[in-house]
Amino acid sequence: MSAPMRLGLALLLAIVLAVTAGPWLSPHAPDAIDFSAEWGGPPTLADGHWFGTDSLGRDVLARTLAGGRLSLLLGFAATLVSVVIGVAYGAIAGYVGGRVDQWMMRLVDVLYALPFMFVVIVLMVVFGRHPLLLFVAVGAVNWLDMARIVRGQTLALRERGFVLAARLAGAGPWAIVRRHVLPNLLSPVVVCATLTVPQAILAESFLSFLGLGVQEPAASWGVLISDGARDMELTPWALAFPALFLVLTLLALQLLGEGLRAAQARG
Amino acid sequence: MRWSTRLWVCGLLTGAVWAGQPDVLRIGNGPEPETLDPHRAEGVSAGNILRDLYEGLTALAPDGRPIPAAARAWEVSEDGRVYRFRLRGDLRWSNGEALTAEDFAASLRRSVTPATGSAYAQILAPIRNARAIIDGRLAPDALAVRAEDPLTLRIELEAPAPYLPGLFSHPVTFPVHRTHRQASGRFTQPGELISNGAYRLDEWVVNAHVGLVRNPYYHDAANVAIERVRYLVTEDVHSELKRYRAGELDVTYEVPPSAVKSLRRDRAGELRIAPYLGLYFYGLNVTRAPFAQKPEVRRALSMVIDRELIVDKVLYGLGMPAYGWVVPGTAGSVEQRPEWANWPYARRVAEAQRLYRAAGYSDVRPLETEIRYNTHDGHRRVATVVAAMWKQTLGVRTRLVNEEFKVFLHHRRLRRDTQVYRAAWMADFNDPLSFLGILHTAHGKNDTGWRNARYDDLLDQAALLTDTTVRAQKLRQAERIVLDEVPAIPLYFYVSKHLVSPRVQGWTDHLLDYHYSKDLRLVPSIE
Amino acid sequence: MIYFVVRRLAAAVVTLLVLLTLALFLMRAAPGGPLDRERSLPPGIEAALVAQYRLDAPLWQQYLDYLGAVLRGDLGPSFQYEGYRVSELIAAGLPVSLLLGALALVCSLLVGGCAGIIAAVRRGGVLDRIVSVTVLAGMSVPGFVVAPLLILLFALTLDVLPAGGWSGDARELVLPVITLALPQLAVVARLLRAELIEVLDSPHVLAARGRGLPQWRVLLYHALPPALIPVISYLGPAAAGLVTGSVVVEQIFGIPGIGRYFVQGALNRDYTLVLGVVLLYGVLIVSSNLIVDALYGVLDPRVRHA
Repeated sequence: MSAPMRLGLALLLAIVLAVTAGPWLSPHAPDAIDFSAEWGGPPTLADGHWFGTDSLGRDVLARTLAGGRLSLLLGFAATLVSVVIGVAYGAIAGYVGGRVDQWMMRLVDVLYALPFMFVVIVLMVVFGRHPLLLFVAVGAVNWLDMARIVRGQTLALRERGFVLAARLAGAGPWAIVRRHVLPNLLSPVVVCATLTVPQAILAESFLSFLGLGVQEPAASWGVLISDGARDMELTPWALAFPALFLVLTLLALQLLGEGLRAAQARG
Repeated sequence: MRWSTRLWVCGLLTGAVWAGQPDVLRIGNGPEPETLDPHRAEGVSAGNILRDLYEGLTALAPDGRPIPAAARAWEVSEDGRVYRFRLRGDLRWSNGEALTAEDFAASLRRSVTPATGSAYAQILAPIRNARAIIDGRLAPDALAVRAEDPLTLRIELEAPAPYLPGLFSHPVTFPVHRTHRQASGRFTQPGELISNGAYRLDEWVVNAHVGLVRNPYYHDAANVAIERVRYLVTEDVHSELKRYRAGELDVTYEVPPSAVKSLRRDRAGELRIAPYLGLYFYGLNVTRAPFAQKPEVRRALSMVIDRELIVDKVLYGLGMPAYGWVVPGTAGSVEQRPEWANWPYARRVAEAQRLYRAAGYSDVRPLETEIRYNTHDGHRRVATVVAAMWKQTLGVRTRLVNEEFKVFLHHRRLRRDTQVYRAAWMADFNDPLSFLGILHTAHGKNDTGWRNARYDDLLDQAALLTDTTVRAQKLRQAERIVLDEVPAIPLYFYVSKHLVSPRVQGWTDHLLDYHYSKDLRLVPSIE
Repeated sequence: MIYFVVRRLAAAVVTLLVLLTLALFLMRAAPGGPLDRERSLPPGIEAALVAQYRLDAPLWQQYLDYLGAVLRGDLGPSFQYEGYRVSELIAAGLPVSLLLGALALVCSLLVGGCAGIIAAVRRGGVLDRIVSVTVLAGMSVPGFVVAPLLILLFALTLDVLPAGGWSGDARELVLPVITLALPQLAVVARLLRAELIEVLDSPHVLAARGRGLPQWRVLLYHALPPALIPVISYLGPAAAGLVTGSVVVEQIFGIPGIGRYFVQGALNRDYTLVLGVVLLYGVLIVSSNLIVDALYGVLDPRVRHA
């Protein structure tokens, strides 16, 4: 395991640990208003608000950690959904090809042409706001990307010499997909997945900007960042800390993804 | 391709910079106006533009008093049921045609015609037969409005309404030209939109701006100082502030509360904050548990809300604590407060806890409720703090439900799931009835479901009175009932808030936040 | 080839029909209607409006009427922007969105492409690191954070660019285009880098290099075309998204594009406007997909049109 990859893994684990255990250890509840503290107070060690308070007198540290839980959960769950569906769908379409491919891609086109925001707004208003719906919506949108990329790669791979050779040698389609296509897909899929996690998190923050994100008093990094951006001249720490956590997480994912890719290339 | 896009392309090719002309007043105007048909418009944004485009029989002075506009004077009969408006002799449309009393009469008939689809036509209900026409029971011709001669408009009322002259400053009473009445002229096209105000429509770029230019046929055109007015769409209040700071706007639509502190420091002279006839409140659904038949619980919830803290810390001072129902400053009103409003906060909390426990709630068995509000940063902040106050003083468990506007209105009206809802009311006319009316059993927006026979009776009586003292007394009694029964919890009174550039002169704070561009002047730019 | 195009076009029409149907019924399933408002309407007036917009007919009837009108090229009247036809609104907003989207696309392709190539060629070097960090920042900071920061810097502090607006001044384009291009640029750089590294190690590039061709030739003619495949398949839909999905940028900079129509239309239940924009979006996506598929063939001749 390379050094950057180890760093990425360590960073990611640290963040996961912090957001998992943090809310239990923190003396402040993420949704409690501290009527005795200064609202929108800067970070200080004196009154226990290490990251300061937001403009409603809530502890930014507690909210950042609690928000991380939701965001990471959202990011990973949505990515998992998109990888599973996208890879299976794309590989089948790309490998089988012909009419099946056309119909499958036609369906993707239809879904693609349905604007994401439209789906989400309608989902939110018809079924009410539930974090689960966010996973579904975000994951359901991103598998399309995955499917397209995988299908494009499979299509190209299918024509490559070694696949052709395997086919001539009498290998069945399943064996070819498993032994030759999927391993070669790993690199773009990993790259795409490390892109999907932040995309899922960012998609949620975009929804929060429009006021369609996670419900108060719960928080996600997206909600915190979009609220923080609103008051960034007044309480910059309410933007900076969640943003820092988000960037660190993305950095960790990137290092991890690169490491995986490099390991794959060597193996 | 729109002209602006073409300009764009030219600008790109030549690198030319098209600077704003110095004699344009640029006003931040919030969301896109939904229409410039004065009878159909509803929003504040449209209203602002319409008051420049059109002129009603009256206008409103800064203190909310009606003053002559298209009408130079008016008289009222002894019994308060017949009004005669005397028009100015030099009224013209923006195309030069003469404007007569018959135009006003025909326009009022258009307002109340159901097919026009006016949401505000209801405020014309004092006029005889208006209600029946709106409900489709009578033909529009039956409206008791008549041009006695080209310069006299006679209006007959169902019952006395001392606030009537003020109503004629509202866009729903503005005259629209014959071509619009016959539904051939479009309100979206410069040239086709014919108006009678100090300005006429020059251009309308959807989602960017509405441009107005001085109307040469306006009777007082010689005294209109500003040649062009541009109302810009500014949906995001923070972006609007940035554009104002960059010198791209002369007047803002709003001021973000969080910026008030720094603005008070840097631009104190440009910050205009003034009382405004608007009430922000939480309505309680009194038709279902947990609030049905429980005035004590409702009162307890109201008592523990520290309005001063909300105004100070959540609104950054952009509001006034509300304990009564009628906004102070409304014509003929005296501020009413429940007795407990003057107690120290600790005593209020103690009394509320007593009421709460007496109703059978405790820490083991807390009241569980929800606050429903439409998606908006300000509403979110208030709801979060109110929920925390309820929790930290009484132990109430509150769920916050944030819905987008249309869904919110739908649920609120159904009164099925909704328990506590966010609401606001801006005065349609300067009279306590405008605020008290919304809790009347028959009012379309009484989403609390509250019914109080004595309250309805007091309002109905007051509506028939011409004696202003007795009338005011009845209305005060009615307000006391609201404060006792708490079908809704008043939180704060609105203030109007703008940034006005030093370039703009003649700006006056206005109780209904009306600012007629014709009364403003621009200091010639130094450049 | 012609057969292929005709088939794809027929399929595109079916796609659009399914899309429109889905959108219409989804939209109508949402609670609340275009006539709900803060002030209640008297029943007589509400009935008149319902009749005027023909909302009183059964849903299937409205659906058929709408499809019929669309076939005749009429997208209906807008509920929210009174007095405007949906087609007028789109005609006003589309050039604006196209201009912004195209500029942003060009920016992200050029800048992102160069960054990706440099990073791939100098893999592991200082430049690669710099690109990686910049890319990471570009992807992880949402537009509604970037835009206020840009305004703060360029409009309020340096006072060299306007903070927003759309009055014909070319400088007004700069900040919105940067905000729009930044995330796309980052993705392009990243996809291209990953793909290029892969391709640079592949046998045919190694062979080309072995033949002693100059580095730039190998890069431009042998490595770049196949490496562009995932970038192209990403950019197709991204291009359509740039045109319609710039809601944040339009809102913050006060730009009259069509992204805002969509969100505002959906929130206000402006059925006709939303369907109009969905249709437009669908057309853009379908056509960009057609182009992408055609480009596949150009970039990688081994892909046949089966």
